[in-house]
Amino acid sequence: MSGLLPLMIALPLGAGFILALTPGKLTKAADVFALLVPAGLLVMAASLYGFSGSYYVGGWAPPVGITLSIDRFSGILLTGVSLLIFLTALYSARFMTRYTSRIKYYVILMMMTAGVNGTLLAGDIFNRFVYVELAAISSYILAGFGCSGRELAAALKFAVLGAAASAVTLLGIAVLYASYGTVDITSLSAAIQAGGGSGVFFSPLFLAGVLMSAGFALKSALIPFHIWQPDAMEYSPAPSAALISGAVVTTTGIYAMVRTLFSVFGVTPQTGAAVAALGLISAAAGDLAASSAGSYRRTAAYYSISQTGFIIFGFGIGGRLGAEGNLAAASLVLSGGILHLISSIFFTPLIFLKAGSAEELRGTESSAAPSKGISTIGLFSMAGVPPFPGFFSKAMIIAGCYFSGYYLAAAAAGAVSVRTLVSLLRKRAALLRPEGKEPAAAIPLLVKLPVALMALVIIGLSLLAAPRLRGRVLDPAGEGVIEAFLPETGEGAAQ
Amino acid sequence: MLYYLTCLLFLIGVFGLLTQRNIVKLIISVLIIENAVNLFLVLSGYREGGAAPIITSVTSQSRISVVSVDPFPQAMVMTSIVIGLSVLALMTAIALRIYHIYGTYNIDEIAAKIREKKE
Repeated sequence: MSGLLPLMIALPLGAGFILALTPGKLTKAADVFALLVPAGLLVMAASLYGFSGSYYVGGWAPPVGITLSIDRFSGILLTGVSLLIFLTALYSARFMTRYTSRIKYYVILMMMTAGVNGTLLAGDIFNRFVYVELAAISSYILAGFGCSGRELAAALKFAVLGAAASAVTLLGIAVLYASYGTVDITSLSAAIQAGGGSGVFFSPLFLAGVLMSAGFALKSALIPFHIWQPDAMEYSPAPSAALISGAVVTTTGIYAMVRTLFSVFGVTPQTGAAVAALGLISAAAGDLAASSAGSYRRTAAYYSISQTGFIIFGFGIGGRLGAEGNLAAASLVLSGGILHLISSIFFTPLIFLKAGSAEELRGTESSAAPSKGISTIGLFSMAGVPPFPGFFSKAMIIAGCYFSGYYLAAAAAGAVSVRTLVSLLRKRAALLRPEGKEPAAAIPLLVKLPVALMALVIIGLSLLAAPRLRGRVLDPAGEGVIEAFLPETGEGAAQ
Repeated sequence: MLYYLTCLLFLIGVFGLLTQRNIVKLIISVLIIENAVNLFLVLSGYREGGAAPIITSVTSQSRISVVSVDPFPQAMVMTSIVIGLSVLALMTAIALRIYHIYGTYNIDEIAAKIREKKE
């Protein structure tokens, strides 16, 4: 089973190199090939689901060799991201025909897939950094793929800030290596636990934690570091915006940040509170900025920042509760955070892909607004309207805060989500066009089908909030996160 | 001493990134930051008067960890330099395309032109 882990990275990398050598005459064949590879990855990710284990590359054990590892938290994300990449590749086959070279787009798509999968599977922080870089460089190219002036300006902004953030992350890794002499996550967290220096201000550990969090916060577009995101989301081609917001931000930003803080540094009540505060600021400020944003895509970009903030808030509170030993509440809050993370892998891309369908209908004007219908599902799950997953995840986070006595946090999170709900519902009428103005048949089937499938996935995800499925899917994933602060008794954490 | 100089280099890069309005100078600032981090990484594994981390008949396997510099940060720096180079190539290419479109490297002028086009 663990033999599949290196394939998750090697297959897209190899496919990317093969595609790079494919002549332009074979574009149709490349379409099929670029769809088969994500399909294969999706099957592999699905069969890896629920499996936890490690793979030693070349047979070299941890302190020397490179480790790939998977647990139930990264497994659920791997499946979700693979499904998103497959659906987006399906969408791109028809949508990307407007650009000169579709094959080059597929090459970058494959590189990004390898980077994203590697980020999820890497077992040491330096390798994770390298895969984050692979995904980030691909997303700079994806953001500027259309090569119009404003796209390039947005991509350059993204690239300059991203490169500076990477340097800061690397500095954090260097500080950790200089203090503890290893970059392997298991040995590093053991060394840090043994040192017991966690939470001490101005120690190397504190410095490394701040540097690495800042680096990953830029990738996940949290509020003080968000300035690249609205431009990139507004101007880039729709599938690029979907991939960056759904795959790159969630894995190289949120996942890398949560994993680094929880599994490497170990969460203390103070760090949990700091992370939660950072998330809450983004959730509130993103929502405020969205109310005054102009176009459909820019508004959606700010709302997605707000959702990212909410996810980070959930993980921060969950970490604080776990560090205080309140495991039942921690499990509830973390399950909510994971559900919001998983559903944001689909609802944010859905919103951007619908914008793309509208452009398909009305030429290349990137501020075109989509019609009502399916995009409502994306906006509703973002807003947290009851039958959609966004409602259940937010409710789980807020309930967890409330029942564990964090009334202030619960009230603040509740206020932010109610405000998001009200402002999004009010804005929806202005953003979307009424149904029926254009014949829906004008949108090609290959553009409509993946979006419809994505909407079905979102509706299906809300079933995960049902107690029985929650206990089977979300809670084990939350346990994967909780194990970080319970190295010995991680097994019974959720009971 | 070298550590302080590395910190200074890093701060110069950050200062450039915050103050410069020219795309080329911004890219150079990012490069300075990256190189300061690379230097720090190499320094963290450096040993005064240390030998090269190669096992030969002179430096036996048991003595290598005592006399040589740490090879691991050097391996990390190699990777980091390659990543830095590819990002640099990409940023330069984008900057050139932007210059062809807008005829300027000044980010304020570019922002103004984008805004103009929109209205």
